[in-house]
Amino acid sequence: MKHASRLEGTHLLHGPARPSAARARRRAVRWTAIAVVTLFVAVVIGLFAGAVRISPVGIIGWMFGGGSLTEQQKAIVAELRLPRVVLAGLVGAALSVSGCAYQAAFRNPLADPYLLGSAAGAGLGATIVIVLGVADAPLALPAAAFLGALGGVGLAYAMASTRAAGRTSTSLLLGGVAVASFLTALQTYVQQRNTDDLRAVYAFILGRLGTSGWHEVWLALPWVALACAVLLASRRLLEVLSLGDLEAASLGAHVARDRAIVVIAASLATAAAVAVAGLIGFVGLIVPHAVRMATGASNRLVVGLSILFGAAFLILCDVLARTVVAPGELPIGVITALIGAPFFALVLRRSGGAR
Amino acid sequence: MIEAREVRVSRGRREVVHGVSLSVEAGSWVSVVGPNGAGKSSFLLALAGLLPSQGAIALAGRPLRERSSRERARTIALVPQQPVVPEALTVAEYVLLGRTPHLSLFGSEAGRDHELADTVLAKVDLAWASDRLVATLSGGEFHRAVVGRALAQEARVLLLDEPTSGLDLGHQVQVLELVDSLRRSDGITVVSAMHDLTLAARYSDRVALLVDGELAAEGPPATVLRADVLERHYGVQVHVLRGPGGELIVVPAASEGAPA
Repeated sequence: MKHASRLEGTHLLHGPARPSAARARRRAVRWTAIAVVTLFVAVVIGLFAGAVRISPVGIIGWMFGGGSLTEQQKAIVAELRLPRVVLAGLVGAALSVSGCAYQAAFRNPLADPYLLGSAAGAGLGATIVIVLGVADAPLALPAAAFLGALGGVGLAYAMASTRAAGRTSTSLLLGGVAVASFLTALQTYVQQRNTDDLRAVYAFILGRLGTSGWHEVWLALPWVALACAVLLASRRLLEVLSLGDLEAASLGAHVARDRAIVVIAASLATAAAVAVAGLIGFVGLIVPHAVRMATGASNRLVVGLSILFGAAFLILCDVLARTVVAPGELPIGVITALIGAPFFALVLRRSGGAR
Repeated sequence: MIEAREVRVSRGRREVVHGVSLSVEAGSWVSVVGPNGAGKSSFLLALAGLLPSQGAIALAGRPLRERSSRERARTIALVPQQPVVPEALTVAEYVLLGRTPHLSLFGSEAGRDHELADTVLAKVDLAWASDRLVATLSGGEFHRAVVGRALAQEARVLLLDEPTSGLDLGHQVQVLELVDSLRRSDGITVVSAMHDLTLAARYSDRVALLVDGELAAEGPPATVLRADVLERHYGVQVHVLRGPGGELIVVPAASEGAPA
């Protein structure tokens, strides 16, 4: 056949298949190494930044069990700065990996972890606790925010599932929008009825990292770890889902169930992050996109790198929040939004131009 | 290979396929043709179990309903009408997604899956492009990648939903020749929804003409693609000619007095 010979000609022209799997593995190793080093540097800077000057060399020595630090310096690093750095890392990792998961599951580059009403739910939960005057009770605020965030996502799911056409990504998205508006309206109502507490409510909404030692870390850690494990295991699933419902189903996926696995894991991580840090915007949006742009890689690599780079990014943002107006402190949400909003515009321009 | 009896498909509240029966022999190519909105795609998606349907559909002697979605995807592969172009996947990664029905929920590919993907890439003549991003392929190359992904499912039935829409003549023939040669070499069964009647006649063993959700005619191309039948259902005058090799050619007649 004439045609077949033409195909063969093309084949010879371009040479035999390259071992693309090995190449992909090398790229994964290289980028993972870069991410780990970045995270390490961010942790050192995070432990270094503060009113009391402690040499970075001493800090690195202390991290590896050596010690030129005085007892006092050790106490500052271990008991004041380390919990905060770890918390920032956990929250950054949680928001970034959730954003990455939401973007794939909803096939929407502008999806962020707060998409399905978790932010509005957390805001309402926190506002209620603050207004009731029980916010100072141990873990009352994080617990209320956590439950509020999960409640918001649960409501969005419930709304999407009752529609006859239900449980498509569009109906879930619309459910999330409706729930978010509703809960935000409720939150505003409760807040306006109790204007004495505005300051505390805004402090939560603008995002802040708790400073009461390790409590918040222990609260967030199990959820964030669980979500990261599930989402790392779902990297392949995310790629299947990103082909759209019809094609994913034609490949044998249970689309609604598989999307639920991803969304629930991401929502748990988001709820945990919101509970301990309030609403920190843009992290879940910019980190996965920056990773995608820098590596050109698919979700297989982006999920893991988002965890590492997300942790590093928020640790560094927190350093800025603590030092720019020292001895005062800026809400960390202001820093991420100041960096995030221009970046967001850039992503919009690029994704708009590609279509 | 496929036995469909009295298949009814609804989209929303509207029934679009009203009791269509069709049997497809193993290793054959059946084309479903018909005017726009006749229910070709809906019928095809129902055969793949991707749209809920009433009636009975059996694949290789077993009812479709008794199969899990993974089992189904190991038996029947779909080349959709407008496949989603993934942004960051390489051609090799894209073809590997065809292994999904062979992997567990959180599983990842083993050596055999990679080997199979390499074989498939060679078959669809994209081995040279395995490291390239799918988004950078030309239309014809992308269609071949989609066929490759379907082949990686190792399914015995290939469903093509308008496989040539949006392709120029050369690429249309290239994709259909590829499918035809795979059918001959691997013995897969092909069911395609087609617009182009000349191409349907050229590649199909049998043609099923679907009109308004009902089977209007079914049989070898020469018995279905007759001028009187087509004029009745498409509402235009056509000539059915014979090419130099005896192949059927369907063309619209010159619009002498006929509505444009």
